[in-house]
Amino acid sequence: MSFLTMLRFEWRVLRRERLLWVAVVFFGALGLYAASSGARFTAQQRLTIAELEQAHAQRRDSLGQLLGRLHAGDTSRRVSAFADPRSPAVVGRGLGAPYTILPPAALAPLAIGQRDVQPFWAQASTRTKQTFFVNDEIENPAVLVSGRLDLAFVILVVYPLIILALTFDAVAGERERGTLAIVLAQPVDPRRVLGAKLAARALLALALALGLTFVAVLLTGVSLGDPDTWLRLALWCAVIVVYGAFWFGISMAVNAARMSAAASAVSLLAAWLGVVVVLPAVAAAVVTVTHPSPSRIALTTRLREATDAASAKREDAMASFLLDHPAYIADASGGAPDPNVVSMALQDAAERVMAPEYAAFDAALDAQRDAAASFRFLSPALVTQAALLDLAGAGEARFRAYERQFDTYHAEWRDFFFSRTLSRRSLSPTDWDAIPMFRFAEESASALWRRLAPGLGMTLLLAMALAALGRRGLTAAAQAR
Amino acid sequence: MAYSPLLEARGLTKRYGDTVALDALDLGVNSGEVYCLLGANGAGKSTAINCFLDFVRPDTGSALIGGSVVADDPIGTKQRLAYIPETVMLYGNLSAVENLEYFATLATGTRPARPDLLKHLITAGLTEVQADQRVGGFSKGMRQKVGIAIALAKGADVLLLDEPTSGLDPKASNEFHGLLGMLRAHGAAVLMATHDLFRAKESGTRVGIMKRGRKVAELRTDEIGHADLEQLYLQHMHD
Ligand SMILES: Nc1ncnc2c1ncn2[C@@H]1O[C@H](COP(=O)(O)OP(=O)(O)OP(=O)(O)O)[C@@H](O)[C@H]1O
Ligand SMILES: [Mg+2]
Repeated sequence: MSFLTMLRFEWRVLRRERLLWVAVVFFGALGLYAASSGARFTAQQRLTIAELEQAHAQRRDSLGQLLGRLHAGDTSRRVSAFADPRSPAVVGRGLGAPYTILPPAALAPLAIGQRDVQPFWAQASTRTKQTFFVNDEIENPAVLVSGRLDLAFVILVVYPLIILALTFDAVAGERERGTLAIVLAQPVDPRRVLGAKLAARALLALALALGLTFVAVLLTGVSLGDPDTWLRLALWCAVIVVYGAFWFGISMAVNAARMSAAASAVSLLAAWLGVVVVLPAVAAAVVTVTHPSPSRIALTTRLREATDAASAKREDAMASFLLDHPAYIADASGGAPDPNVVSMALQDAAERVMAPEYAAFDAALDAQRDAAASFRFLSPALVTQAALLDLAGAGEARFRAYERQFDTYHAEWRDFFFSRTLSRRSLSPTDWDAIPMFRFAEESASALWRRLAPGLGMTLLLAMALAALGRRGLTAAAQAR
Repeated sequence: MAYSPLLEARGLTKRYGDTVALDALDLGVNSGEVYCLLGANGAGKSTAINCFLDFVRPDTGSALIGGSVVADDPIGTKQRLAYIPETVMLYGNLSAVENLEYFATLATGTRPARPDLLKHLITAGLTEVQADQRVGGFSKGMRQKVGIAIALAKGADVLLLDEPTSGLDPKASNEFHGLLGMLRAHGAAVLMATHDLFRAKESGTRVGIMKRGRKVAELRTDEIGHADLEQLYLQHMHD
């Protein structure tokens, strides 16, 4: 009897069981609700972004027109020094500045993840970058059990329960009902028949999870035009398969342990609790102790102190700034220094003092994130969580990429305006059009895959080891009476 | 040996801790024979039958089917064997035909056509209407009939029956033994554990009496009357 025939028969039996339909309805309803919650959150973000962009476009247009008129020598209107689009210092500090936007990723509706605590936009400015983002939350494992309800959560937490609910008594149940004896009196390898009974059930759970993903993708209007999105979707499905295989392996090992159906239910529930709840919480607790979050408040206080200190020694700050920018001195026409240059000098002095502290702060955050990443290997649930969030662009990797790209952009922005401030050039309409714009560069799906591969590989290996253990035990299950 | 019995136990021994379930049991059942295993509760009858199914591995000795050692070829030796326990437990949500279809496919590797399945169920004593009913609502007797139908579909010539008629009403029991007689006439070798001395004498060709894992007596049923069999049985139980 072919394996497929065995599966078909099992499905025939399962189709007539109420448990399956309860699972389908429960899982489906929860999944759809979760998907709609993710879609609503994403739509809200997109709306905010559209509003920001529209507001910026309007400001930019009106300032651009004003600049054109001023440049053409129109003096009919008086312009305040703080709203003068010709001043590189003023525009650099944020007059009509564009927004640096982290747009929701293609599969964003599938996971909210960290997005509800991550800022997704900021305004460009020559100010010190540390004041832009406040986000020190490391991946919070409590999110696993108490996070916002999204499809990733349903897959992470509920999908294993469905697998376990459908498979926990696949062997013990038949033994207790007495059908196993009639099955095993037939000339078939017990590992194959029992394996088919388990696989038929697990495949149903897998089909449910994959089906739910596709329905969610269709209902939430994920645009599938980009092949990269397809790749991500394929990876998302692969993660579901691998995570499912892990739980199937656990169930197989427990089924082979010749326990009663009740005992195997309890064991599987304990495994679920350990993998999905306890291990992640332990990992988080350990990381919090070994790598405590550096204090953002302390850093901000120090920056203020450094700025105050620099202002108190304004002459020193100015002197060392001019030493670094001899070109400015060369054509200095004497008299009082440009207040914009003074403020640049003060910022420069403060940042010089703060530089090592920033570095230490970033290093501490990085170390914490790396520690959290390596602790992920403790639990396939953590690996899977990270993978699903990354695929939907709701994890911390994408946010870090955004921060890094922001840094580069910030430096470019500063350069653009500082150089013009120093050379006392006012902005021309040509300059206006050349103001740097930010565009988030998405990580390619293949680069993402390389990052996810080790965790998924480990989970798959674990699944195979468990299944092999279970397979060995199933032979013995044929003799256990 | 000049002839080889279809079913043979050679020095079967099985211990569970201090309990000796089987103690060097020897027996042989030939084609066309119904061998009835008698004995008190716990005498080792089921353990003996389970050795032929590889549900129990003997500590020493071996169970043979058609000359092959069961423990060496558990799958091969099940090809010609049918097992009917006290209650044939089936998939309650499936009909008799669907259950038979599954077990027959498992047994033969090919999917029998519905008319064949129906034919076996009807031969086993079910009606066509019953064949399409959910097995969940079947009586014990009807389940045993599906068990026989599985044996028929499989073309089994070795039958292992573990108290197949205990709990059946006399009519159902009578029908069951009628079917057994038919299978025997077709050359099946039947090993049956039972507590029913009357049926053992009626449809058995030989009986073996077991006590604490040992065979303490063995005789042909045509050599002894009903009363004498009961007498002999009780005598062995007492000492
Ligand atoms: N899995 C087991 N573990 C421990 N002891 C067992 C096991 N199976 C059987 N036994 C013991 O082996 C002995 C023989 O049991 P067996 O079931 O073969 O008896 P039986 O003749 O079939 O009895 P009954 O008429 O009650 O069906 C009994 O003492 C029983 O307690
Ligand atoms: Mg018994």
